[in-house]
Amino acid sequence: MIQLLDDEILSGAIQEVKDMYNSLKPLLSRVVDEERHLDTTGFDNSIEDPHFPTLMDSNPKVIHRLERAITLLNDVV
Amino acid sequence: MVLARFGGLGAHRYPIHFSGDAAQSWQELSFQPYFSMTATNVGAIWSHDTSGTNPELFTRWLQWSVVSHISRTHDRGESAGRCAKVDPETCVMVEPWKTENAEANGKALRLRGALNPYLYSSARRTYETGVGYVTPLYYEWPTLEEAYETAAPHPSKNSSAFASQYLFGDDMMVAPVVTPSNKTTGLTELRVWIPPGIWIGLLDGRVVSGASDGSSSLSLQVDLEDIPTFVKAGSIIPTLPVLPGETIGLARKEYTHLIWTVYLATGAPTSGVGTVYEDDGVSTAYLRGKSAITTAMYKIEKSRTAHSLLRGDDDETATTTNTLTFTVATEGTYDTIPSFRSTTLRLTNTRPPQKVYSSGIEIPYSRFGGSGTWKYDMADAAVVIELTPSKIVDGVVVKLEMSTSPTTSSLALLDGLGYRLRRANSAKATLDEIRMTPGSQTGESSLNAYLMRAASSVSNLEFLAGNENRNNNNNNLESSFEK
Repeated sequence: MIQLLDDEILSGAIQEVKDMYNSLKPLLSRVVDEERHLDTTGFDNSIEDPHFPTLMDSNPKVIHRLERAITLLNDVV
Repeated sequence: MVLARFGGLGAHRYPIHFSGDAAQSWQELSFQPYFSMTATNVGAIWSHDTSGTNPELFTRWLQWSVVSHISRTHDRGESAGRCAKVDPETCVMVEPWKTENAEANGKALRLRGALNPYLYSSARRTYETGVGYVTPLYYEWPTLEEAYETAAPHPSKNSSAFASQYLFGDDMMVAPVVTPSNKTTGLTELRVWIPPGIWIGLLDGRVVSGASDGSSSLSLQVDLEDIPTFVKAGSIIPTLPVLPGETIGLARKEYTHLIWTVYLATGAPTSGVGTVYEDDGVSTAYLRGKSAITTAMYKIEKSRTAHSLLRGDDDETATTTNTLTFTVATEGTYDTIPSFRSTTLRLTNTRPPQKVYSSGIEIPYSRFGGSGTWKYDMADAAVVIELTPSKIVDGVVVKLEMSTSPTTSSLALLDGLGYRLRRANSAKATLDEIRMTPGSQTGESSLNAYLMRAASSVSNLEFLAGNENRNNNNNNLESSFEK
């Protein structure tokens, strides 16, 4: 009787999730830092055209999603 | 049933009451679980108006509603009256399908529908004992101070306090979300006390353990559609299948299909019992004994098969086989009891079995399940056995042969794996939304591969669970999880 879903396969699946977390966490954290940096330095206060999209219009949402992803991944290890 | 208005002590002749006209606020919601569980102390079955002035508040109120005594949406007519014309932005919500959170609301309502056998059986015990089925944790752990802390009013005023927690029926502990989410992550943080023993997530198989001295707690990050609910390890919870288009009037229908979920994990008891009470649901014939009780039991036994009769039990090459036996038997009857019933058995956090038998006949594996087959569900790492309909009077006997006991330490690998994979997939979905999944934009292909493989792990593991793969020699799938 061959049991395919054995300890080795399960260990491998769990290890993959951990590897993913360990690889993603620093990357995502770096992207969040960069986005925050852009928020503070890339926004030109002199632009007041309401029709001109600025970084502040979109970046908070990006940062929020990244931080959500990090929080979710914190739970898998 | 008489649903009475707000009543005080002395109103026990009609003991199902409600908490009065509720203000639609987080503060009010956070008070309701405390109000309900302590109302049980004085013999009341406490109900509450389910509504909200914004989608998130309404969803969280609805979720708490489906795991409380009485689940009903209600307001004082504001949503249909003047409010709808004057101030629709802040109008009270009572219709679950009319908000942006309709999916989460639907999931909560389907859970309520699925739990009907558990709820009705709990209500029967209330009828017999006078004790409601939303009870403070100090009923079961009266000597532990933490049990009283979980029954404090307005937990939202103190961020370090435990969430409101209570026992829902005999086997479940609920920590409803009664505070708003973090605006950045969309998740709500809860600090949950873990009572002594092993607890398993109702829907995701997550396993948490509580120390005997009551010192265990857990910080949860709860997504919008989730209701933190844990089941005592070894419990058997009866539910109904909730199918699209067949959700209306579910509580009034006879149970033609019961799903029994045995909550197993490492260290869980090797035996357990669950029951379902049923009657015609519309008359007082139950007072004349027209009712039935169905009892489900499981037992795990270990046996050694010596490879040499001469060596006997001392043979080091002997094979250890674990057999899980699951039985269902019904006693009593009532006029409209179905003659036949389908039975589904689910065993959480359990390794795929080598053989499955029903009444001595082997049941085959099927990748996607179906009547008369078994499948593997990675949502909670569950073996799912769907039996063909059988006469209720005949009962059910299922045997599973396994190479490893479902409760031994080697299975710790499985505990909560489904939950972790789901969270990983949620993270991937979040990154996909903003097109920032690593690999798709950054060129870091190795990371993309991790996410993609995590996303496909669920179906891969379910596929690998099946015995029919024995002859397929599918090296690609098998090797994809080798370290």
